[in-house]
Amino acid sequence: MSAALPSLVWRAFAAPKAGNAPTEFEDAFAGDPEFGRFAVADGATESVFAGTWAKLLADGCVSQRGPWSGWLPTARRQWAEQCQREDMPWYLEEKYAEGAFAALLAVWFRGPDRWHAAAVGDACLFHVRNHELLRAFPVRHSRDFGNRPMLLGSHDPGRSKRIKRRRLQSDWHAGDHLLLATDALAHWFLKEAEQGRRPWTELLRLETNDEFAAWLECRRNENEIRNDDVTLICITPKGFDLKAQGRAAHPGFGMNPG
Amino acid sequence: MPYSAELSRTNPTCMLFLIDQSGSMAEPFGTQTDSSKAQCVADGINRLLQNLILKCAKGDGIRDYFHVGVIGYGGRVSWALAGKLAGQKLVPLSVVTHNPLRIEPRTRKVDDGAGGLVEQKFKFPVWFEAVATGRTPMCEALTEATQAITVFLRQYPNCYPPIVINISDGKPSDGNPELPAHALRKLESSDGNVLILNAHLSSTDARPIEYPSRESELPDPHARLLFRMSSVLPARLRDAAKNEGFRVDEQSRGFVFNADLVSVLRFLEIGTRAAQAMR
Repeated sequence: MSAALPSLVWRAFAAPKAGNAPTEFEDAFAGDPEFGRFAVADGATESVFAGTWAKLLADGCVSQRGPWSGWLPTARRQWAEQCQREDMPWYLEEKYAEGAFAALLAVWFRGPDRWHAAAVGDACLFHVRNHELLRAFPVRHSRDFGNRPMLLGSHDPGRSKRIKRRRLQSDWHAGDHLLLATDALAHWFLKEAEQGRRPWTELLRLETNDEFAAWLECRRNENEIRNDDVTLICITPKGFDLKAQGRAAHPGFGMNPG
Repeated sequence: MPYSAELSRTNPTCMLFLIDQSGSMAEPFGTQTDSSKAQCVADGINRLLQNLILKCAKGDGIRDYFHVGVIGYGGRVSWALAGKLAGQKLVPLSVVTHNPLRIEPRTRKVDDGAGGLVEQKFKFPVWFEAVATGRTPMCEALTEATQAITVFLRQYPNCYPPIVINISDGKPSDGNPELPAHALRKLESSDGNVLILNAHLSSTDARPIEYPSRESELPDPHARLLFRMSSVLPARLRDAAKNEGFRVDEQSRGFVFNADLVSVLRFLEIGTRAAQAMR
């Protein structure tokens, strides 16, 4: 019998790389606040059918409990079924044989005051408490991005080449926030935090995907965020006034949020 | 920061190969292989084009992050992609993809995931064939390259700077190539000057000199000439060379001298690392 979970609200935002069609989006997200499970995935753009793989990964780890080895084989089979075609041109045959790759970051709550996370690749989780960034996982410093991390592949690599996932667990207080972001946004977030700023205040104030897209366009135009697919999940306690939180955390923020 | 433009379909870059097709290219690389230098280089170019295509391949087609071309210089100077691409100069990658000269069925051994090897069939498209006859009109090839790249830059003035890869095994027969090389390197996009990378192919077993940073590291006038014709490696390519195990510094040039087959293949691999910019 599982312990009661905290009451959570989650918001997810997604925007494709500028210049790409929405169908070319290769990130994915999934969430189930009732079961306290959330995930973001980032398909590697050099691989083919990467968006399909990212979605299967995010859905897989949110809908299935237990170790990843329990649901990964099914996800791999589904990827093959969805992507394999007859008469593929030579390059698609090669790419299909290589498989799709993705980063995956999963968070799940165990009880009212504890959560676990597991990660492969450089999608990141940020734990915010009392207007401070408590921890960043798995990448802890902005300089550590861009290192071509190992990713989860859509073909079984065999026992000898299983990818190790990074793990973390932590406590959860009323008033904490978790933000999950794929790498372009995560990189910006860490750089801001390293310079003493509080990047979560802007993100936690966002309500709609249009607001998110507009905010992102500004950051991209200022060359603060690299042009890439972006996905963000904000997990907050239910009943928490996000706009009040934003004002409280940002001294000098006027009465009119603007 | 120069050499930092990201490749996209609306802002592609170009990669242009200048390939020595003189008679001496019919000789083997030192004592290492039975194949001629010309055949080894042709294989290397075909593999490079395959890899470039694979890097740009998506489920719905090839992203044209690159335009590519090949100029052969030997008995004559000519644009060397053949078949349906005959006579075309810089061609978008998707067009190259769909118009190989032929596709050869081949097999290779791959990891079966359980500690063993299994044979796998695959298709090897060929676009460029070995030719080895005549002299070495490198100056004319460089001039032809300059004209084509001038046209490209007019169309894509903000591109990641075009990359010219010149592979030769001996001295030019049509004059001093330093002047046309200089003219080519003076061309620029808003992101930087055109890059020239030179590979000089060995006919002996002398050790290759790879990515030197000082002219004084080089043994003879021809090597020093090619050094002066070669661009300093920008950061992305320098990192690619480091990843391949080369000791490079900020003055290292895109130049390998007395290259053997392995050296040339690694040189070509490093040259395509501009493709890292695709996101």
